[in-house]
Amino acid sequence: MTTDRPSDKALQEFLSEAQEIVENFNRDLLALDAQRAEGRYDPEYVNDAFRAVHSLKGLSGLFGIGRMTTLSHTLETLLDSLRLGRVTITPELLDLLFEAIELYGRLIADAASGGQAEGIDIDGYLRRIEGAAAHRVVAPPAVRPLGEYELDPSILSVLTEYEEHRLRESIRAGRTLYRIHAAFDLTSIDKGLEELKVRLKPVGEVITYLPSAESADENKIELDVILAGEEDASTLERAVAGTGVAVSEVSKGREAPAPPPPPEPRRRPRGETTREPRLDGSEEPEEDRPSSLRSVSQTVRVDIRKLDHLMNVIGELALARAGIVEILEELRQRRETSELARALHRESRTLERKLNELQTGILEVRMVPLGQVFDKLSRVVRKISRETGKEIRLAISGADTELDKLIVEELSDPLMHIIRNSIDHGIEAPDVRRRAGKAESGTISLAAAQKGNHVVIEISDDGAGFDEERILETALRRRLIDSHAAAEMSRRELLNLVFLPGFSTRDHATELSGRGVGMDVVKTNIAKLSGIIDLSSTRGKGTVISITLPITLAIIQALVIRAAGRTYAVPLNSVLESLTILPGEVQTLSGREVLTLRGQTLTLVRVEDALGLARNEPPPERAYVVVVGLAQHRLGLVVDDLVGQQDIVIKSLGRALSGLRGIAGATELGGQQIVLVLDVAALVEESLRGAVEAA
Amino acid sequence: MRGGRRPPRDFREGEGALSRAPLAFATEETYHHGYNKRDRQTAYQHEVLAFSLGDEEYALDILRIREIIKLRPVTEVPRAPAFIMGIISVRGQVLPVMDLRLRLKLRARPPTTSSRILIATREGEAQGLLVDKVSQVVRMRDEEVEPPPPMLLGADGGEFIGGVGRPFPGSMLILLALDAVLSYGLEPRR
Repeated sequence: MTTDRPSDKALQEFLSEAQEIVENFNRDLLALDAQRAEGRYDPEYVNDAFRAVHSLKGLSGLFGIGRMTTLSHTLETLLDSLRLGRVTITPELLDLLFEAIELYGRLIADAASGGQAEGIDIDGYLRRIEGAAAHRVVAPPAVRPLGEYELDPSILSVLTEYEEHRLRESIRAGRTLYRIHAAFDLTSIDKGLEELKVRLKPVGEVITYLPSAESADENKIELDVILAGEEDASTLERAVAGTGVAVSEVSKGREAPAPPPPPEPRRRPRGETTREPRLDGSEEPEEDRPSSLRSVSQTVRVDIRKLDHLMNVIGELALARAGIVEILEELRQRRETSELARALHRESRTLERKLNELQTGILEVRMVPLGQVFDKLSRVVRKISRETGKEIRLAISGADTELDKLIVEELSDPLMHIIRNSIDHGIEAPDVRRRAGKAESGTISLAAAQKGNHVVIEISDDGAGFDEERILETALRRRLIDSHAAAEMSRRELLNLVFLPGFSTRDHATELSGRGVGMDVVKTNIAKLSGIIDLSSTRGKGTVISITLPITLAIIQALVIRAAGRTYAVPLNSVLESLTILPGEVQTLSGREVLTLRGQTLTLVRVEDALGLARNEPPPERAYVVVVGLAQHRLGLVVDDLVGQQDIVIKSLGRALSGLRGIAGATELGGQQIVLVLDVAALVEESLRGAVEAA
Repeated sequence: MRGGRRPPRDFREGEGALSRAPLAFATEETYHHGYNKRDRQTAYQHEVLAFSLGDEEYALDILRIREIIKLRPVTEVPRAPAFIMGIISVRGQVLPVMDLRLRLKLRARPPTTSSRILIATREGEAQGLLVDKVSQVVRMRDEEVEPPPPMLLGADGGEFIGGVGRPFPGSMLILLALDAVLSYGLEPRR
């Protein structure tokens, strides 16, 4: 590696950091978009967006990604004008800014694949941004001069342009100005100031804070905070109660007391930084301490493959422990070593516990909040709703619910598909909605919640809902079901027909009032994540699609079974129950084996038949049935023996075999034995299709 | 397999070596030697691992072979193509193993003690290839490698042949097109 180029590792670090910053930028824009509708917005979001772009500019410059630097620089200028109130926020301007998110994504992807982003044309975009930035608002309407307030002229003279802008804005909005005098110990000022800001946040906007001139104690720093508040003085006092700060209202009128002498310049490190963003209070009175290059962040970024590797190592450790237990058993048999065996047993139990802790720890590291994908979806909703001219409100809850990183990554496409369908076909046009007595703007809500070892995500809309008669009609016409089956189907079962492959194709999508466009793909994707998707809908009221997912794919509980001399694992999340059957209990119904279970007919499938296994010895007299379920479908898997339950680390069979249906992966059971994990969803589906074809 | 520290034999070094065919077993040293020597070599453009299937000698680009392991129990995979013997786990990684004889449409033969699994890679993914016997590392110049004869190409399994190597007079190595060998579709059930 040459010394004048940043290492690959550093570049990767930068790219993932840039990705994160862009995500934050996106969040700020979404927040602004939401607030714009209400007519007023929190200036903090503009500031955050400005900082994000500023950081991107600095970082990309460091890595020589010229186009990203140029893009960031131009955006920075625009955002600076925004925060100074020279340009106003309009939907068109936000559209323009949202485009930057896509551009950044492409630039990052290109840099990740080693390019220098030469092929990506940003010039047109830059010109539009520059155009928007040039679109200045004419001088703001006259505001009473700031001098009317009893503010220390020495304070006024050092306000940055931005601070002055915010001060004028606040006065124009009729807020009350307060001066809060606080004293902090030199050593704990960072924390103290941060705490004070948190307390003040709900009651007003901190315009500025400056070292006070009245400082008496050498070991203390006294600050004057200027706050523009919406509340009265007593609310403010309550907010800061117990912090020992003094609150006073800055009154209007010219009878100001003689201004105190100007503060010592030494304590005004920020005075000259008129334009650079201030990241947080920690940058403040830093000059008394040696400066440090340590980063503020306490987090590390890790490639998920490294965690996969660690999971594998833990799996192997567990196997090694199983080996130790075997030796232990042997030692126990011998009288002369039984004492040692007991000691070894204790140690091996400790080892087991610690291994479990280690496993849990790594699983936790893999968890990321669903908010990551929800944010992306907000952007999609915004885009589609502007495209289709339908007003959509997206309500999000449970964004902090955590799932395995890999699952979250795989979720964005299916969720996007569902939401797109919801807007295209579910939510009606505004005039239709008005006639139906609904609010003109449609609501899609995304709600996530953890339930035990699962996470449930519900996507609901208040649109037109599905038309089950037309679903039935289509399913019959496409011979997905026959009229017998149709007669026995519940409403819910009928609705779930839309998930069947072949239910609808792109060409026929428009003739359905419901969705159905590629819903089978959505279902397949969810099933790949061991998830279950279910749909319920009320005509005219809306649709709810719920997705139930395991928290992690890395470790699952499985039922180990034997069939035709082989061992397999069945994920326990799809097992409803298991029972013993005697040969006489199995009946046949139009050529298929069935079992009557609590008055209901359960279709049976022998594992060896489903998988096409050759059986060397005759099946045992007494067999077992493992009842598995996929959404509302039940199936009985006939197996020779139940071995037991076990936590397994599920591994892929590799790319070459990844397309095999019916097999979800493989796992090691100890003693170097590898067994296959059955894909219950696929087996149930095949059996359903078999039933349709046989009928 | 012999594990002695004898210097690895190489047909290109020493005059008499050519007459010493049939090819000897490759020891682990041979294998590592093959890797290390690449740095020193200048005149040879091809370095391959030679192995046998029955009476025929085959070879694969050595850079694509990650390791050579002894046969171990495989877990059969239902619904996989017939040439897939099953899966094994190598240091925690699960990978498929194919019977190269079946893959190349040769007659099946049960494995023997000299059978080995070559772990080959394609686009970062590893797969195992069962071969009858591993011979040695062979280096060849460009002029010693011929394109596959048209007769072979037309035959069943001809798509797997990438060329024919003649490292020394009277010898013939069938150079396999590894990418073709390692890529196959899975037949849908219905």
